[in-house]
Order: sequence, then structure tokens, then C-alpha cells
Amino acid sequence: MRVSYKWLREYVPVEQSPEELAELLTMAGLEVDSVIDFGAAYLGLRPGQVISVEPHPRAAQLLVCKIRLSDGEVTVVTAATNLKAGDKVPIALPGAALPDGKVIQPAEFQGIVSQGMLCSEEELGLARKSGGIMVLPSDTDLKADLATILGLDDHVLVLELTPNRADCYGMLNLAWEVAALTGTRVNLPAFSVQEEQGQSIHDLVTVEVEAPELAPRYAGRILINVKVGESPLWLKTRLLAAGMRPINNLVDLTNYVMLEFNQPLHAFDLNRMKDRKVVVRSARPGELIQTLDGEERKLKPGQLVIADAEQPQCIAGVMGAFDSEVTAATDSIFLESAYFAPVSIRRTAQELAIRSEAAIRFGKGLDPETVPLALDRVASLAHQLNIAQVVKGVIDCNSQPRVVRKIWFRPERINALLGTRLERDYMVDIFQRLNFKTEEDAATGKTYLVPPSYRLDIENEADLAEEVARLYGYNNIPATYPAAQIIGRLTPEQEFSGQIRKILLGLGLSEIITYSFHGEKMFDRLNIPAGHELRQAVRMKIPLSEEGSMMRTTLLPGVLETLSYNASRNHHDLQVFELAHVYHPTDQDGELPNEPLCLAGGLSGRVSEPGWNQSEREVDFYDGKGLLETLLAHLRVEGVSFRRGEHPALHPGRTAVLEVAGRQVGFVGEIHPTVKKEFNLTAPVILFELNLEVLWPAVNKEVIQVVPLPKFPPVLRDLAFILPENIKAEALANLFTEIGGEKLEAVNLFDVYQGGNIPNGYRSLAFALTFRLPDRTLQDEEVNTIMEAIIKAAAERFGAQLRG
Amino acid sequence: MQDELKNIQEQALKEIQAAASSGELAEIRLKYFGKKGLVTKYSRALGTLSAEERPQVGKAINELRQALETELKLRQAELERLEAAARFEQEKIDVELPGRRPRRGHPHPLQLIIDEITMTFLGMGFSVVEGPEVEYDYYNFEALNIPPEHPAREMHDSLYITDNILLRTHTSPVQIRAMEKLYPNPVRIIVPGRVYRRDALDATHSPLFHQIEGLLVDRGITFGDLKGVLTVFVKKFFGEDRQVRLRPSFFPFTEPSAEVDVSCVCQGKGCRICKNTGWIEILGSGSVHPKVLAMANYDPEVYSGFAFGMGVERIAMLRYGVTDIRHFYENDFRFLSQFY
Repeated sequence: MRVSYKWLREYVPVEQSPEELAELLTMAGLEVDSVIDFGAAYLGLRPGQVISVEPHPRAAQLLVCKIRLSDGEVTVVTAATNLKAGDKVPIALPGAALPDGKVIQPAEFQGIVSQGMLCSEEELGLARKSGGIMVLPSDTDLKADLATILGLDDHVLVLELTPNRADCYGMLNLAWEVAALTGTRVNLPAFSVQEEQGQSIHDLVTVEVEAPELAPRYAGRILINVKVGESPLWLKTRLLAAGMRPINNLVDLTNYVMLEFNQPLHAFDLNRMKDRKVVVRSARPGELIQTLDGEERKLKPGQLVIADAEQPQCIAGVMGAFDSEVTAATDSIFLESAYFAPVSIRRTAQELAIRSEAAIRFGKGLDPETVPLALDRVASLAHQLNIAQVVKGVIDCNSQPRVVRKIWFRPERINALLGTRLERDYMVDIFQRLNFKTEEDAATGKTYLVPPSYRLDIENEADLAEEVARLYGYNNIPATYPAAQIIGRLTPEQEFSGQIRKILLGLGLSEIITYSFHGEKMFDRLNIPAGHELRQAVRMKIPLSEEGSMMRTTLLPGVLETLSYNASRNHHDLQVFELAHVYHPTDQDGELPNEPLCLAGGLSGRVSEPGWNQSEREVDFYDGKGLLETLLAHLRVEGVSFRRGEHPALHPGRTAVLEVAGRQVGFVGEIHPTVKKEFNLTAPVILFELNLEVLWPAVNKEVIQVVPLPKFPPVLRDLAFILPENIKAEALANLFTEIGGEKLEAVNLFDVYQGGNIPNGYRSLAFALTFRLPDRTLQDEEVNTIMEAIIKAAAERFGAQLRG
Repeated sequence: MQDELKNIQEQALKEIQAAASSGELAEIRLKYFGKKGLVTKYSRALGTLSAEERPQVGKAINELRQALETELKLRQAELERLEAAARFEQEKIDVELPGRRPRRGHPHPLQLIIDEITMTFLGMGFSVVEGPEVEYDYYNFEALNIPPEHPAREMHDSLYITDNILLRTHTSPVQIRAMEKLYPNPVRIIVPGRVYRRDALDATHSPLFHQIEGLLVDRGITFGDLKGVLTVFVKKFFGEDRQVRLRPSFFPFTEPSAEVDVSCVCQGKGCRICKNTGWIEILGSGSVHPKVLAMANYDPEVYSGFAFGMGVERIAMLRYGVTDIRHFYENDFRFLSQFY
């Protein structure tokens, strides 16, 4: 919304500068985005007086003018033929910029240098088309600057209005606000309608409202003997400052009143309305209309139209028809002012993809009470400006009873809501300045506040509190601190997430945050087969894009995209994790999906930070598994086992699934070569993902109880077996525990070896065993006995041979 | 004999001084104190001496022994020191070369902001509550006083899953969920999380971003309390020297509503960050709308409260000087590795 400072001052005697006013408005909730020095666009343009007009000696279609300025004379070449000596004209001297941005330079025309340019109204932005150079009034002072002469020495405040204050799209409503803020009074424009004697509006037109639910108030007047032409300069400059282009006097006038009252109006060429009928109805299926912009549009029921006896002549509140547009030939006009249902206008404008000034205003909601006022204002000005005569009578179909909103005024409640101690009288004064009325109920002794009809946003006590706060000043309200009887804390689950972050950061993984959606193709890229449960995703009704059509069911896409993004920038050694939700639809229709919190990560490239003395070893499966083992140990997760498993995105021979109490928690494994290629990865990649909600129950939440430190020395023994490769290390460890019982304190697998002199299909496993008793020193012989038993049992059960 | 002993002593002392290594010193010890050593020889010869001579010579031999032992010990220590020094010189390395660095991960800047804001509010008695990202229309709009066809819905170009389920457009639905759960107890919560809008990705927009929402509901809570709590937060988070300014604004679920601005680091001189206004908008806030309270069963005649919300990306961009929102989701290691 562009507000002309000069125009505003016609309604309210503001003494503040445009910038000061902008600050006041911003701090009252009517945010001013910028203040434009409107006259600045005309800087360098000056008035001059024609001394002589001579034909150009060498160019028949050009004229050479001598122009007197306040401080000298210049020669100008022009093609315009409407000038004579003595005329005062606008002239742009070299260096001056025209409103369209064109900068004037001296130019040579057939040997004569033109030292400036004489301007037409078109070139000054004052008219769409103009026949020649603009001639200024004869009393124009040559010393004055052109913007002042034309009334363009204005400032424009660009307001960013919030939806609740759409009323301020009208200058008058804004004036009330400004008056309240500056402590001044509003001067409402006084006007009366001069109606012609004779025919009444009812003799000339029939109005039928068939859809009162979409058009609760529909009013009209008729103007006759219309003289369509140019608008007066003052009207044009008002519209220009407000950002609207002058078109013709009638359109300009309706636009002017729209800006003034925030009430769009529409003028129909009455003679083009078949049978002189105005029918307000819902569009018929497939009905066509050619709108003002030349487009042919197909309508459907629910879209409100203003029709004549046969066809739509206007998409109500959105755009008029080409057919009934006011033209130079128009003689009689049906002028419409209406209140249309905002939702319907918004929907229609959206469906037809039309963003007109009227549709925007109707869509935001208007004040039905303004409907007849705006109509009379146009009629009054049309008569006053000699544009038309006004036919007697008004048609006003108002199906909506006037609702007066009354809100119980309780100053003490307002103070309680705000934390202020303002006097009742102080509040009453604020409301009066804002054009509210007070109403006493003698029976109950209650006082009510009645907001002005255009303040559609005022509904309840909280709204009253806001008005008081705004006018008192938000920044004058004392800041207090509410006493707390609650302690702020994280839930154990939230602390758990925080701990995971800390541990993983400490272990060298960086945290990433990636999009929670992807496209259908991602499943193929991840090698996930058709029908796989990971493809059961929450899908958007209207996808965001091809890459954003469904919510992720696994965190792997984000991890892989990150590895891929960095690899393509030549960063191959990367360790990352993401802690985020995945989304699984439920079987029940209308139910929200499950959103378990998951942890995923990827390790790629070399294990160590590259450097002159660092290992060049690249990551393998055991780095990933070991990372998880350390993580889980430090999270005090108990009872996790790693089993050979499968995941479509992982190498079938190098994947383990994690289980807790028989439930799968997640997986770790080497990337599947196909997926690796798909994401353009070259370095080795290990991936893992855990569902933290499944993991959570396995976390030991008891407070740690310290185990006493051993008092007696341990007995240490190493043991290496050669045994068939399918025997699990875990099976042997279990055997040791079974035989060693309480005497065996710890088992550590310290070597796995295959090849060399180990027969094919066999491998060597070497363990370090720690024996100890808490209450006495173990004797070598006791341990020897156990060792012998272990060796014997290993041989019998697994065919394990002791390795020399 | 005494003279002989004296000569031996002189000779031995000379040799000890001249010894260049512990090995040589050991040989010298053997030469004098070994089985066939010179001093040993004299000690053995003591038995052949007369009873008168014996004590005197014995004493002299003892003195000689002690003198040599002392000297040997001193020389031994001296040689060890020299040898150690030589060994250290030989074992010298270039300590100015880079060390072997254990890897440590880098935190994500958005998480850093979320953690810091969360910690600040935990200190003020707020607890962290989370809610679903795929949400019912009811919680996202209706219960927040945004009925169907309300103009405010224009602000939220939403991503729908079904007719009444969508990706939440703000963290505010958690306000309602928390109130429903906590009623009739006081509410003091903070809600971090992901939110979604149908926005094309560019330098300042993303279809996914993060918000932190706050809500406080209790008896007797005022708009002044909102100012107090947010002022404490802004000063703790942005710096004690920063000023806080409230501007009236509009949100369907708060009334009165306020935008909260923090004074710019340029101290009003005007800069690109504050667009020469001296103020930076960081928070939307307001007293909880009575309809919203009532919708969650809290009687607006008895209870009141305030809510606020902020964009995590925006705050991270301001704090770290990030000019393109896409950096947060690209996870370029060259970007991430700048955070600790």
C-alpha cells in the first residue's frame, strides 16, 4: 500500500515529517517498509517559456525553439507542433532523468544541438498518451521546480499491512489511525450528491441479486451524459503517488474513491447491458466471458458474476468484461458498489489466476457499511468535476442485517492482561481517538465499546487490550518476570539424543542436517526393490518437486547425498551422522504416521586425518561396527547382538543387523557397489542406521553402582586355535565362559588369521584370557586344569586344534 | 710402601679422569680392584707385614680404596650424564612438524543455535517438548484460530498429505498438544523442530527450516511478563549491551501480538544487516489468544499466557554471518568444519 503524504494531510493535519510519521506508524503495528521521495523523480525538470518557434532549416518535420529559463536561454529541437511563443513548458535539461529512468543528453539534430527536451504528459508519466508538449498554466513561476508546479513534490510511505489491518488500505481509515497516533483530528471530506430531476434509477435499470450469500450487499447508481476524457492534474498526481496509472476521468475517479474508502467500484456501460438488467448470480457451467485484459475465460458455478439479461458482464469483484467497458463513446453508466463474500472472491481470483486491485481488497474483507458512502462519493465528485450527471435514487440490496459488535469494557481486565496500571479515562480517550463509541447499559451498569464498522479485526477483550497497548506504546509497558514454580529440564530421551551427539562428535563424526523428503527415484538409487517396506512412504498430495514428493523412511538418502556432494568436491575422507525422524505410514486411514527418531551415519575414505605420519588405512566394516560398539557401550545399552543380515543398499556379504531382545534395531555394513556407483563414490563407505525408539528400552537407566577393584593378581593365558572358519568367535568365547565359570574374568579376541600355513576353510583365532577370583589368589595349577578342559572341549565340539 | 701407594693413587686418579666411557671406567676398576688388581694385591700382601706396620699400611690402603671409589663414582656419574646427553642429541626429532591428530567431529550450526537457545530457556524454567512433523490440519490451523478460508492461511502455502493432514507449517501446533496434555497445570515449554512450507529453494528460502516455539500459560501472566522473559533471552543470547524493541504485529493465535527486534551491532549507525534501520527482527510473539486458550480448555478468564517463535536459520545466519540458507542443508565439509 502506497500512501501519499500530501494526500493524507488533506484528512489529518500531520505535523510530523514523512520519516517521523513512518516511525510512528511502524511502532503502532502499521509497518512502513520505506519512504520514497516522490518528487525526486522529477528533479532536474524545470519550467521554461517559449521565446520563438522556427522551422528547422534542414529537417522539414522538426522545429527549433528558443526557451527562456529563470537563469538563461537554451535552444531545443522538437517534433511537437502545438507550441507558440509565450507558452510555458516543462523542459528536461541535460543530466535530468525522466520518470521512466531515461537520462537526457544534449543531442544533435541535422546540425543543430538540442540542449534539452521539452516534455509531454506521457513523458512525465501523467498520461497514457498525449498529443504534444504539455503546456503549463500561464502564471507558472519559472523559478519554481517542476515537481512543485505539478503537485508531485510528495513523499510516499510504503506500508506493509498485516491481514488484520486491511482497513488501512483506505486512506480515510488510515487517517483515523494517524489522528489517534498524532493526537490530531480527522477532517472527513464533506460531500453531497446533486441528483437530476426527472427519471429515477428504477426507470432505467433492474437489479436482481440471485446469490445474496455471495453478494450480501449490492448497491448502484446511474450516471448519465458521461463525458469520458482526461482527469484533472490533481487527480492524476494522487493516483500516480499511490502507484496507479491514470486512465480516464471516470476510471480514475472510481480508483480514487477506492483508495479513499477502501471500496472497489465498477462502472458498466449501461447501454451495453442487455435489457438494462443487472443480475448478480453464480456463473453457469462453462459460461464464457471476455475480460478487460482481452482474455477469454471459462467460468463455473460458485464464481459470482454480474450479468445482463443474457451473459456475464463482470466477474464480481475480480474483473469486468471487455463488452461493457466504459469507452469514449459511453453515455450512461451503472456504477456498482458492493460487499462480496471475501472467501468467494479469493477463491474465484485464485481459480482464474487474476490478481486485480479490486480482488485483493475484496478478498481481504471490506466494511459493508462503506458500500453506499463510496457510491455517493463518486457520484458527488463526478458531478463536481463535470464528468457526468447523477440520476435520482440509489439501489441498495442489503440482505445482511447490520451487526453491531459490542465488547464489554473492563479496564481492570485490560490492565491485568497487559501488566499496566492505566486509568480508565486514559483508555476511554484512546478508544475515542480510534473512533470507537461507548455504550452504557443502564440495567447492568456495564460499559460497552463499539468499534467503528471498518475495524473488522476488533472482536473481543484481547483486541481491546492490543489497542490500548499500541496507543500507550508497547515499549512503555514495564517488563516483568513471571515467578516460576517449575524447573526446566530435558526428558531422559532428550538427554539420550544429546549424549549420542556428544559421543559421536568425540569419535570424529560431524553432524549433518538434510532434507526429510525425497523423490520416488531415490528408492531405485538405494537399490530398494519394488514392494520393499521402505517404499511405504508418506506422500505429498501435490509434490513440492520431483525430488520432494514423499517423506523419508530411512536416513540413508541424506547421508549418501552428503558423501556424494563432498566427494564431488574432492573430499573423500568423511565421517558424518544425522539424528532425525523418519516417517512410516500406519495402516489406519486418517491416522498420523509414526515418526521414530533415528540415527544414521557414514564413514568413508581413510580412517585417520591425512598427514605425513598418519596411517593411510581406509575404513572397513569393523570400523563401523566398532564405532557402534563403543557408542552403545557408552550409552549403557545392554544385550545388543550383531548378526549377519541384509539391507538392499549394503554389500550382501558385509552387513550385520543389530538386535536387542529379538527386535531389529538397525544395521551396519559396507555400501553396495551398485549404490556406491549410483552416488559417484569411489572411496570405501560404511553405513549404519539405528532406530533409537527401539534401542531406548535396552538402555540401562539405573544409577551406576561401582564394582570393587580386584584385590588379588590375575593369571593371564593366551590361547590360539585352528578351526573351521564357520565356527563363530562368540561360540568359543561362550565355551570359555562355560568352563572357566567365575574364575574367568575376561576374554579378548586379539588375532584372526587365515591363509599361509592354515588349511583352506580354516582360520586361526587367538584369545587372551584373564583368570581371577575376588577373594583369593588363583594358583597356576587351577588355571592349568581349566585350560586343559577348554582345549579338550574345543577339540571335541568344534574340531579346534591348538596352534603351536 | 707408602710411597708406592701414593704413586698408585696418583696414577689411578689420572686414569680415572682420562676415562672416556663407562666401559673404560669399568676396565680401570678391574685394573685396581679386580681379583688381580693393584689395590687387591696390596690388601692381600697385608698379611705378610709385621704387626706394627700392618695397621698403618692397612689404613693407607683403605684411604686409597676410598679415594679411588669416590673418584670412580663421580666419574661414573659424569660419564653417564655425558652419554645420556649424547643419546638425547641422537634421538632428537623435529617437534615443529604437525602432530598426529585424533579426529573430532564438527557440530552442525543449526544444532548449536537450537542447543544454546534451549539451554537459555531451560534456565528460565522452560521444558523441551516436541511434536509430530506430519500434523493434523486441526492442530496446525484450526486450534490456532486459523479457520478454513482465513486470510492468514495465505501466509502458509502448505504441503498436504491428505485433506486434513499436512506437514506442519510452524511449531505452533505443539502449543495446543502441550496444553491438552498439561491441563490444568501451568505450561512453560519450548519447542524446537522442523517445519515445512511450499517455498522454492533460494538464498533465503527453503521448503524445510527450523523453528523454536515457546509457550507460557499460567494464572496472572501479563504482556509485561512476555517482555521480561524475551528481554532476558535476547540479552543472554545476543549480548547484554543489546536493546530490545517490541512492535505491534499480527498472528492469528496471539492478541496482542508483537514483533521483537534486537538492536543491531552497528548501534544504529546503519548497515546492510539491519537495512539501515538499526534494528533486526528476530521473534514473533504475543499474548495467547483467548480462543486458543479456550480451545485447549484453559479458561481465558482465569488463565493467560504468551507465546513466541523464531526461525533458527535466520538466527544462525545473523550470528555466523551466513548469507545463503542452502549452506545449512548441503553439509559441505568446508562449511561444517568451521563450527566447533
